Amino acid sequence: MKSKASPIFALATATVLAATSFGAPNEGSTEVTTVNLSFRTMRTWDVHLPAETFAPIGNAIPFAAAGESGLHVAIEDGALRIDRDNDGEFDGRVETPDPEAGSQLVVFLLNEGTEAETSYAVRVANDGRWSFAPAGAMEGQLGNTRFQVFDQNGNGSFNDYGVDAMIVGRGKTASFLSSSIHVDGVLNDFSISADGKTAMLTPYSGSTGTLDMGTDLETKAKMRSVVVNSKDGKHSFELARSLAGEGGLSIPTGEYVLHSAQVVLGKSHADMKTGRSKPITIAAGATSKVAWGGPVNAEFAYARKGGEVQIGPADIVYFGSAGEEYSNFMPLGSSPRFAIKEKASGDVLVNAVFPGNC
Amino acid sequence: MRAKSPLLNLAVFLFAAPVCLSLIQDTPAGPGSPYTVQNARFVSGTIARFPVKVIQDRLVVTCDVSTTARRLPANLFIDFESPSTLELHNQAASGLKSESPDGKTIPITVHLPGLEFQVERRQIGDDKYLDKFTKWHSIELGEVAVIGTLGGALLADFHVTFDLAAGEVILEPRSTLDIQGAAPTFPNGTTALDINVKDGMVWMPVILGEGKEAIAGAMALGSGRYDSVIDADLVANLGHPAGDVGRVSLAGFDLSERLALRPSEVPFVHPDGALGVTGLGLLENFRVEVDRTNRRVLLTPTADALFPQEDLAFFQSTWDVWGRREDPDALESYLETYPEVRLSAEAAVALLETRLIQGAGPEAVQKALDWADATAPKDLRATAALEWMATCAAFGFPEYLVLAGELGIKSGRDDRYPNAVHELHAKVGETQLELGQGTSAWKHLLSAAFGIPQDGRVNLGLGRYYESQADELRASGDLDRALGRYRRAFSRFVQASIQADSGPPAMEALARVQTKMTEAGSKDASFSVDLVERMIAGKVRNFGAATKFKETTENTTGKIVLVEFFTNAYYGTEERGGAIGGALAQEGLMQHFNEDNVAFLSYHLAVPALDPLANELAIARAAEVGGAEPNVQIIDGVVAQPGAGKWREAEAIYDKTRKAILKQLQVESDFVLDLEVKYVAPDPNASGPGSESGRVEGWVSLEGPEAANLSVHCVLAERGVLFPGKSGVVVHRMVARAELLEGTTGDQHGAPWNAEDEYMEVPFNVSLEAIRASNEACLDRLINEGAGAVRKLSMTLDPRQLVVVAFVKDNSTGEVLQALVVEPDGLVELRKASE
Repeated sequence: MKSKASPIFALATATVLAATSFGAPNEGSTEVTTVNLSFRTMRTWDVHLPAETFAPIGNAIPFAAAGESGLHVAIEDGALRIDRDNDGEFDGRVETPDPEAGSQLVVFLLNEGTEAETSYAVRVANDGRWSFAPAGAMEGQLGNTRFQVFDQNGNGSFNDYGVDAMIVGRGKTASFLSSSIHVDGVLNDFSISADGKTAMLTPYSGSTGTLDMGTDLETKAKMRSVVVNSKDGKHSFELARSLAGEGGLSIPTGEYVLHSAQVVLGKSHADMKTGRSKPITIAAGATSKVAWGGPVNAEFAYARKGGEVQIGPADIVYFGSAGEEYSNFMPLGSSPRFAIKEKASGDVLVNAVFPGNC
Repeated sequence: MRAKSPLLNLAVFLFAAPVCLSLIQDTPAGPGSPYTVQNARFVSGTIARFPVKVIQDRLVVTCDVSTTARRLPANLFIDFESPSTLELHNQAASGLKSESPDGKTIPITVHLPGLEFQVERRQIGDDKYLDKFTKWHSIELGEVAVIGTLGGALLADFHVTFDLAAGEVILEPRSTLDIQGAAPTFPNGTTALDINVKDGMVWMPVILGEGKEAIAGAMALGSGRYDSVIDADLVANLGHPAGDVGRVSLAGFDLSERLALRPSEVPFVHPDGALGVTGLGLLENFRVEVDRTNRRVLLTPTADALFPQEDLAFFQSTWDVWGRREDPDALESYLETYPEVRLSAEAAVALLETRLIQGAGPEAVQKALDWADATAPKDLRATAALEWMATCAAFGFPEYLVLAGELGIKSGRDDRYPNAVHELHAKVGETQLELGQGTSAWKHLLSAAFGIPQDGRVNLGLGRYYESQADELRASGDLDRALGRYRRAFSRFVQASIQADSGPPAMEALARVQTKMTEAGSKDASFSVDLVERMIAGKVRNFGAATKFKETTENTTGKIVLVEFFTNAYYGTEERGGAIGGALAQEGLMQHFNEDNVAFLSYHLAVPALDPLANELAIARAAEVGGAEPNVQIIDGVVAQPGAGKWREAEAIYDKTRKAILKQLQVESDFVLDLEVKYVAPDPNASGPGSESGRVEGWVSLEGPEAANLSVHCVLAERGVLFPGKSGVVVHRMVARAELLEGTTGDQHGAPWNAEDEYMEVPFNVSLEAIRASNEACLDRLINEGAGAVRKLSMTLDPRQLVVVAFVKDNSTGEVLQALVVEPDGLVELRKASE
């Protein structure tokens, strides 16, 4: 079944937003626009990063604005000591969170009351060892487009293109940090300083083609995120919001791969990764359409052990029509049914499903 | 699906015939699906009217849930928009015995007032949310837990009427199709609206705005939340991020006169545009009758239009054009204007978190806490304060945790849960101790100890406080009083040592305080497993054998049976069961049998969590017996018996294992083992690495037929080792520490049987320090390989606990042919000296 483009959303997307802090660069211009960014902490972490990982914590949490030594922390029995203002003294203490409770938000405030004042925040977790992941982003705005840059790899710098992450515009789903972004519908070169405080944008002058991931997508559900990356790691785009639009999105020419996606329907969702999907070529002035999504085929491995056949939930792999791979189906408890049949007669010998907690 | 689950084992008896294995992905509740409603029947007549309540923005029905094994009273949520049939809490599913680990299920019956139905399988519920909801609303729920959700897949089979004004939901058989050509009629005041059904959901046409700017789309009918939600992206694009988009036309009714729409993600698609999902607010305004057969809903207003301005004000305070807005001033202003409305508590939580994020000072945080307190129900303020404390702690503000706790303590007497105030005292005391506020901490901890005297954290905290006092007294030269305080500290640490959450630090503290006491001139008994065991007697689970095995020539053959127990200190818990069942059974068996008849050894494995008593020997031995898990007892290398269970199952495990041992005692052996072993205390004049620890030296001999492929093992064990993991087992018995022949053979597999004249003798001479170092190296290796972290406690062997178990094994069958237990010479004197 196809998810058709909705006229409502097309209309809504075209509606001009309010509040403009800077004028967006005009197409064809070579003028460099500088944008200042500041850190924004997200109280409720509902951001979908394309490759979220929790980095191990040693004696500091890297943050370029805090200098080479980063933000001081100390692991002690049952807790993590933190130096909230980075003045060399530990003034905060986070108890080891319950692994089931997930991560906890820890905030820092540096150089309070000075021009260099900045906050920073990470989520910390402990599954036997302390680790952290971003809890906020460096945020700036140009024209009617806001962008947020996340230190996805936790090295303290915000300029790792193809490794860190960014959200362009409204929404909660991120692409990788890209050296080109769309600002008010116009493709721009984008660069950002390591401390994340300054971004520079220039209208993109290279060749472009169109990527259309929406027309031939077969799905009953909503795509919460769709991330494509250029093979050289320079460009990355989150396309979920453009799927409903007609004609696709103009992006720099080159070879791209479908990196990841999340598909959602109510409380149910599943993740997608590249799997066996082939690279997508974007040629200058041409439109590349990708047929993907349903029908989905499942492949699974099993093991024979004496008179038993063993199948684990992790052994099943689902592939979409472009070869993309689906996994992490939630909620749990809706198991596929397995049937063992006699080859000759087709008679079902055994029917089974996974337990309700799988 | 998660990989953590067990493998699905399909027993196939006809594997001689060629078979093929296929996977069938059912639709969630389609024909043939295990989630399909089965055997639905009206109990009386053809209508079921069941009373429902709206509790904390959820629609709740009281019913019973049963299987052939058990029937439970229950509350269930009703989520019309959910694609599930029946979601159930894991604990409820377990109580109903509705499924086994291999995927077999017993159908579950739901007994609603007037209607019963079955599903073959449940879907998983959100356990944490259900638990919290039950705790928070236990009174409204009639002290019956919410254990799951009835989803739309059930309701789709019926003609459903939501009549919340009358406090009921009505289910009837699906209506028949309208007669062609005859226009259906409806009661006065009722409006019919054509709908469509997509993905099992009922979608109603809705128009936002008026005139040329109007936007047409669809909203799904829902009952899973109070607020009707609207696509946040859409409303932001329209310049109304708080959802106040103007007229919202549904069947001619303007919902904007009755409802404030909450901006939210709308994770659905609809060809006309999925604008949102309606909630209980709509159902409180209208009687809604859903006729799926004729694709229409009937709407009858049941209340006068009254716009909830306070809801809109909340959405305005919390949403802007970019999404969630984090503006504490706006939240505080909202609370001042609307201190006691439905969303006040949500605003107070947001205010507190936002203040903490922004690093606010004590005054602003105290104000936020006051709001949190004021918006919590009066009889749950202490319980709620535990949450505020957790929030402050999570953000890394211990000083604010104390503020939150002290606020909650004020309401402790009025709280629904009497233990909440003790928990608050405990947490505040513990935190103040960390903050160096000793006296205040002591007062709180002492208050906590009155209510929860067994609590590990409380005892640990009090122990630390007394220890610090003793240190000060000792420094000032007042040794008598210092010793008194150290004894108090020691006693508290002993209490703490038996609890999972405080055990490891308490054990370290016990050893530390013992040293300090000795330095201060104490003549008290030295710290040992035996001493701790005496002090905790009656406070931990134990199991005593009712009888003692009496050896006769009929029930024994001269062969000593070896029972090897594979376990882990983190396998299960005392409450849920796990290693505790096996350990208690072992305790009984050790009491029942003499060491002249049965030898015991326990091996600690590195799963499910790394345990400091794990070592290379345990890992190697588990592999030798075919990959033992930490839940099995192996008798004579080949007979497996259960080694885990609930504590109350210990007797059954004991009985079963005892019988298996009795059978094995009848087996004859051609082999004779002999052991000569002595403990050599450290030389007080020696120096250098390891010189402070003693050693064990001696030899093991085997006599018997030469031809067999055998190996001789000689294991150094400790009779008791103290380590409180999470399993509820505090003292671990007969813990295998080292293969004494490793020095000769270079591995953990014993010495091969190289007989001369049917005899072999293998010497050993091993330092206890070398064993400690080797076991620690094993832990380091496991940690590096990702087995997790562990506190390296009880690594040093206590010579008073030493015992040697030798056994001979047939390498071709794995069978243990003979065993022997010997205590090293020199231990009696050692124990006497340390008494």
